[in-house]
Amino acid sequence: MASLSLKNICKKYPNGFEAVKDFNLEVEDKEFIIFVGPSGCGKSTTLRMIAGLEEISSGELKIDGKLVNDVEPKDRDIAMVFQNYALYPHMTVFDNMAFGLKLRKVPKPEIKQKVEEAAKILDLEKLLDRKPKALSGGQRQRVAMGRAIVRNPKVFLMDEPLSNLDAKLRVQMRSEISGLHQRLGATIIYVTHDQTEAMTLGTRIVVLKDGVIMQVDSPIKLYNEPNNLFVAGFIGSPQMNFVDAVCKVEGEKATLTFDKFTVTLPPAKAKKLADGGYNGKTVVLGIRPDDMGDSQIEIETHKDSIIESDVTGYELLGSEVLLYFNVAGVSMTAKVDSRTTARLGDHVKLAMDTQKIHVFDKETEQTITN
Amino acid sequence: MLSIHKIQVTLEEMKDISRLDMTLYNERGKLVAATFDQKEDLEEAVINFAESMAESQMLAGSHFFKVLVDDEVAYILLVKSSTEEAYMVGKLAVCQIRNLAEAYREQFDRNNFIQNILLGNMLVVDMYNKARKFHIEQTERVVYVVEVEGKKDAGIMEFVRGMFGSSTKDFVTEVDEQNIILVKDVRDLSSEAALESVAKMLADNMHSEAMVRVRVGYGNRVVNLQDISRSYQEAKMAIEVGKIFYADLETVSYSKLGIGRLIYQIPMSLCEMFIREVFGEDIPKIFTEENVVTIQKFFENNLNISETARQLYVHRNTLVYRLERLEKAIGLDIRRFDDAMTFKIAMMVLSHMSYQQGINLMRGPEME
Repeated sequence: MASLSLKNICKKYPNGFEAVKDFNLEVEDKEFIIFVGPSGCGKSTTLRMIAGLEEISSGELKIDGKLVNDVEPKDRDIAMVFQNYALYPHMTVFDNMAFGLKLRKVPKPEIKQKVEEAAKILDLEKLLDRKPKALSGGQRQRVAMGRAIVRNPKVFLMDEPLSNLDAKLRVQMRSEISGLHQRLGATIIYVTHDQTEAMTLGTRIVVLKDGVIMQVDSPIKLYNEPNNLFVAGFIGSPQMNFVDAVCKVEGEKATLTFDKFTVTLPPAKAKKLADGGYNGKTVVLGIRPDDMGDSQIEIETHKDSIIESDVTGYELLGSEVLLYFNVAGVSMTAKVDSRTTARLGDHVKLAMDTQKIHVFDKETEQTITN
Repeated sequence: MLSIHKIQVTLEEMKDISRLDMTLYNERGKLVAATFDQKEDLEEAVINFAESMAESQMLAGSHFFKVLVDDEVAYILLVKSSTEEAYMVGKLAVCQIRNLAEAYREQFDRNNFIQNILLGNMLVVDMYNKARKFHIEQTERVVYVVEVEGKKDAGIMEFVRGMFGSSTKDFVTEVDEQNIILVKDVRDLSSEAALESVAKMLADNMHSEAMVRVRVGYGNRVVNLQDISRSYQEAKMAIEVGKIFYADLETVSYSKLGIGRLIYQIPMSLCEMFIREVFGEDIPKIFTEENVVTIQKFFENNLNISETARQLYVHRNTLVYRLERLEKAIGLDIRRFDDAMTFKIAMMVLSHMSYQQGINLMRGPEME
């Protein structure tokens, strides 16, 4: 397997559109890297530049220390799995996996060995004689991956391979891909627009927006320490709540006021606001729905961060409930315990865990308090 | 013509089953394939046999058989044994080879037929007669053109054939060095999204399996055989227009080319006239990287100054300054919708002209 190095990679089309801007990333051997972001953010374009399917406008791409900017895709020692794959309908599973090798004139015994090895990894051994129409969706997906595995590549590139599957199958295949990563010990670069998929699969996640890297970090760090408003809003479901608030710093104490509510921040966060000169300025307060609660204990623990509103929506998830309400003209969500007595139309008090409050600069959208 | 490799594989397989050595000659006595090292020169014997009336004969310890394709001697098969069993095996082998050759010929003829339809090289009446002969029915079809970047080798065709070629309803062929053509039966694909998904599947499979860069264009649905040529021309145009105006897309539908299709068909003289009208005699040197990115972002944000400034990480005033500088240079205030539209069209016309002339007309040094 292999390492990857992307230095100042840019992609600019003839009409001036810049799909990828100054992309820098070092990928270690065996890492599972996820490129995630909204549609049009440049994640697939970057993947295709790594594959050699898209020309790199400027910058350097190295695989295992070797510069590959001008190397043809088939010579880069990579394998790809795409969203819209199609199995060869009239060939068996064995032949589907062998076809590419056959056309490259790989000797028959070697083909047999590679296909059988891949089939074993993917638990397809008993299906080798079947045709695609006799396979389930998940089995077909595994055959598509088998076609990549038999190439024995240095790097696997996957572009939204699960997007065409139904929700249940997607969840199942996610854990299979994760298992595959462990079994193969492979370096994988995976593109998805689904932040849940990104969070469950990756060892490191690259969050992209408009062709620019917003943050590169482990899933937990992205969740707990987002660098900016975009990452904070993109990662996590339900989305983080954002509300504009006026910052007031008095000595070592900092408060954020919005509507008729004032929230007192812990000392560490207060210091960052003071040092940044945010006294009197409008900032953006961010709080995840999970970090709000309506239980008596939470309200007593976080007396300095209580807000009140009327419940405009109630969704039972099972062990938790989503409460929807409005504060300062902004629609917000809180994820509370299902034992809550709050119901639609009730007036509720909610406490924010101040340690989990994020504060963002309104102009630059960068995090102040992390 | 049946490939030598195919014949060799067939003989080898028959030898594996029957344990009998075989050789195949063409009607002129030249060796085509053999399962053993044939040292004996049997050219004369083969030619004599081919010219004789006999369909089979015993000679020099071997059974000789004629393989007739369309009532003509195509090959001579020798089975290296004089036993009764060898004779039976030989007859079976003749059937096998003849059927293979006929299937290949039919495939070749079908392929030829489709190529002629695509290129519009056929009279309508001939078209329908041959279609009947090949059992090709009239149904809704779309032509997909897969343009391969770089050198296209035979293996790339095989990938597409592997996906569609075995179907009797779809045809995979090529008429030039750069493209692979798929004439797809789309009676079961009622929506535009379904057609697009076939194109995406073609592109993705070529990327992952053949590992080549491709662009896929597809035309409109057609029912009559003589209209297949039109769908093919549309698919080709989709690729051409896509290269100029939608370079970031790898699948392009003719029906979704929009203003790009209009501009593509404008004669060069009219393009030049329009550009002179908009910019004057010389194209102003405004297409610096900074300006191009600014204009692009401004259009993406629907002429919203605040949002554009934010996304460009510049102050609002800086953006306004840039747009006013642009207005001074070209006389168009792209903050106004009419001027923005004129400018956008002018940029597309310039892209078209650049592509056709093979030079970038928009490049220039930094503006002062």
